[in-house]
Amino acid sequence: MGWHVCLIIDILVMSEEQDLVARAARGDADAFSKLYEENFDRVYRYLYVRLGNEAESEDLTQEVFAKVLEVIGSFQWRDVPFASWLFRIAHNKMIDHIRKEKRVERVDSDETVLSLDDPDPADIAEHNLQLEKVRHNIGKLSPAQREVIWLRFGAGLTTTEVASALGKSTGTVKALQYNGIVALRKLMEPAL
Amino acid sequence: MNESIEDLFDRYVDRLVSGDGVSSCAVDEADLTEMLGPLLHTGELVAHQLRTVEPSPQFRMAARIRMRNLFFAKLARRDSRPNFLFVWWQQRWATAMATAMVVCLASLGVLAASFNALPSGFFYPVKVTTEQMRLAVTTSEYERAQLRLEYAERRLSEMTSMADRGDSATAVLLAGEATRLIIQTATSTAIGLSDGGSGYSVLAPDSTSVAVAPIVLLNADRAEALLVLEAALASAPEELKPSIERLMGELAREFDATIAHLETTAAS
Repeated sequence: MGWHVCLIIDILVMSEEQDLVARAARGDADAFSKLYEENFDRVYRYLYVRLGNEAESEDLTQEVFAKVLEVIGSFQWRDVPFASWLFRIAHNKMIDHIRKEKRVERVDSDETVLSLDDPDPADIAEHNLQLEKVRHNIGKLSPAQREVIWLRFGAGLTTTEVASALGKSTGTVKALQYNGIVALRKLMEPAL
Repeated sequence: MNESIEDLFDRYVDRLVSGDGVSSCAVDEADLTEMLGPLLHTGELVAHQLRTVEPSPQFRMAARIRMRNLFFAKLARRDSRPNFLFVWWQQRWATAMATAMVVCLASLGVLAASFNALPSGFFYPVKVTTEQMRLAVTTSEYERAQLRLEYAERRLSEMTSMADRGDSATAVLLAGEATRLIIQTATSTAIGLSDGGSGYSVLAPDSTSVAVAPIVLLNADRAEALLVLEAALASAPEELKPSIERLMGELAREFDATIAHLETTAAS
């Protein structure tokens, strides 16, 4: 697929999203609902992988969407994807929370919620262990690499959305992503 | 080679993030395969592990109800200025404010006047914050369950009244509040429904969106609240059963009346 085809798809997706956001801002329940459902899990996941605490992630996820509802009318499109705007809110909420709690981001979590079909405790323990290893190693990356990896792999944002959320160029994001995974590879090598 | 290694890697990460495996990332050049292969495996592992994190169904359901209430509260506030009084009570400081207010106003008979107040009424905050105070000072979990059932019944009656007045947004808000009270009661220690096996958690409505058409929402609330009450009835102590049975009857009647009214309004 050529870059121009990707660009056209991006433009179409953005214009559909733009319409959705505009309708949500006018109080259209269906539109708001769609935005909420599309983003709820990934906002939670982003906060959880950052904070490592289920209760805090739940509280903050609700606060993020309450904030979105409050300020969606003031959302200025200006080629900023909705997801970038949303994750800036999530990021700011999390930073405020960390400052308020006067604590650092946890590298080790005390509880996890995993989407496992098999509720075998041994499987859950194994998954928890693996997840914590990944979180722990991501925590050792540089702050910029870490942020890109959380947003890209944790929240599932596109490179364009990550770039817009962080105020960086897509080239910089791609380089941070590549170097971040190279560093992670080295950190995780014994396990791989 | 026109594409940088970072660009190429990024294209494959797109696939990994969307759930595809490394096998879908067929790298053409052999030297790139050697270079990118191990990194793609690391990327796949990271993507896979992080994707396992999901909110619990209980949290999803509770958050959806709360969000829906906030959404309709905003609509109600925007569409009808007096309704701002309805959401006022939801704020955390409402109980403290109400304590002072109730003490001041009790002597004026305001409490009595507030008993039949509707969300659009001036005395509604007094009514709801009085309820909160009663809950706050009640220490017995059994009595709290009784109170919540009573308040759920009030919300349902208010819901029908607001629908009669053509305020569908507030009616939906009240339906959500009644459902929340019912779930809260059912999961309290007085009844002790856990999230597993009680039936209601499987309703964690992935298909029910946070804010859709009022009639769809009311129907979803009706079904959900009745299911929770049926499960609660099976587990509740004998003393609570008459209240639950009465509420089940009221709930069906009030929801049917409200939905019928909104359908008539929509048709006309």
